Amino acid sequence: MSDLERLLDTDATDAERRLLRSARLDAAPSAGKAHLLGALGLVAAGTASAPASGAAALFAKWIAIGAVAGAVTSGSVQVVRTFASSNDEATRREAVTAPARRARASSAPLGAAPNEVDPSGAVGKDALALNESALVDGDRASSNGARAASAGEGRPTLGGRANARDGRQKTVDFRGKFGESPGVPGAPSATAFPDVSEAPREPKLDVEVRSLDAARSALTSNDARGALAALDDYDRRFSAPRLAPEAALLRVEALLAVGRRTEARQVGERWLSRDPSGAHADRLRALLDDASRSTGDQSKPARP
Amino acid sequence: MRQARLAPEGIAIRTDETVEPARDDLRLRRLVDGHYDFVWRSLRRLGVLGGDVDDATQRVFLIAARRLGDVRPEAERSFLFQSAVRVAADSRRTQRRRHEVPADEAGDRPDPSPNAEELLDARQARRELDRVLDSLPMELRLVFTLFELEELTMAEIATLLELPQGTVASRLRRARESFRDEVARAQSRRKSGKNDR
Repeated sequence: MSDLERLLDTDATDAERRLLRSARLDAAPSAGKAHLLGALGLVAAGTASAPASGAAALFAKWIAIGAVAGAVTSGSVQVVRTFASSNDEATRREAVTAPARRARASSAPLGAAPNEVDPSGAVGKDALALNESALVDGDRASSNGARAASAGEGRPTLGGRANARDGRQKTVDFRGKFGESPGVPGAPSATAFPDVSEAPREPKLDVEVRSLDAARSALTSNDARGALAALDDYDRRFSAPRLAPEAALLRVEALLAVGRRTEARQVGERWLSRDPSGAHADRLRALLDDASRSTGDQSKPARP
Repeated sequence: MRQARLAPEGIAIRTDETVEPARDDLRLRRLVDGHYDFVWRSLRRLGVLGGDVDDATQRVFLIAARRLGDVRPEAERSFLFQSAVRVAADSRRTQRRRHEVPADEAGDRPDPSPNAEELLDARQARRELDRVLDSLPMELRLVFTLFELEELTMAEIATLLELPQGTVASRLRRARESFRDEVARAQSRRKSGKNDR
């Protein structure tokens, strides 16, 4: 069936044109999306330009680490929440590039990969000027929103799990509360997040993830010394690391791999004494047990 | 996906970057990334006002999160839009109960000079558009906003609303007539108002 032409493209009167064009003001402030992602327990905004790759994938990796190991709650929730505060710049980028992604996309199939074509972004070309002013504003709001989303988070160290568990609980409650019926009133307000816009900025978590990833890559390439150097670098760069348990695990593995068993045991036991049921406690114990039983080639890392 | 040589068993460290969190979380994330703006605009155009639009958008996605398992991947946008229609109806009822005066968008956005005058007029026009759309029956409003404002094709609208394309076309024609009539009426009211002064 051939489509009718749009009024704006045909014989609309000036008055009709004026009204129809005014709908181009309708642009979602990105702060709302950040709040939503927080409410859903998902990583907040910022990687929208490539959510299934790059930083997001890196995060997924460490979230998965946390998730499997017992102290799950701390891993996933805190990574998720703290990321919210670390992504202001990425959010800004998204806001700035959004007009470009709004290019007419009516030919995109429904359900097309959302970041290749914005299937919903059917705003005409000449709408961009108006939209930009709205987006700049949304961007500003988003910074506050993203910071707000990280409100009340404790420092995610091994000892910080109680906080994290609380956060997790809230998220679960949130999901449970809004039920099947779209008509259920009382949806969480975007303003329900405490305002901590004055809170000091945390170092970016994606930077921390990348730094640790370098160590892991070195280790998987049998370059344990390189891994140790990367871990030293990590320790220098992050005074309050959020991925400390993962760093400790990697360090123990790397130390074992280069035959520095005593040090490996010291590092491992130090972590175990601080948090005997922590994120990677079982794994650490297994590594140390293997190491103490092993009498073989010390250049190879202990295996579980 | 390959398992990293040194990856501890049971811990999802991989040698590549394809490690994924729970599948539903990824799907949900894609849903939000792909459709948040669309849902927001739809709610706005269905008559949700001011700060309620963000809240209503959240509600739509919370419903989707809850029912994700029931939604076919190819029907995601349709599910979201239909949820938005219901949430919008609920939100408008609440707005009426509160006798809410629509938030003046001019009040919460920075002065966008040098086009301030243009933008002010656009905002005024946007409020007028709300009034005109409010005069349309919902079934016509849906089709009209999706076609004229969201610029979807009629086939897309038919999919979204799960209607035959012929129905979409006939509703669109009726919606357009109503829209044009209402704009003309508003204009003549404005003119006669000016003359009365």
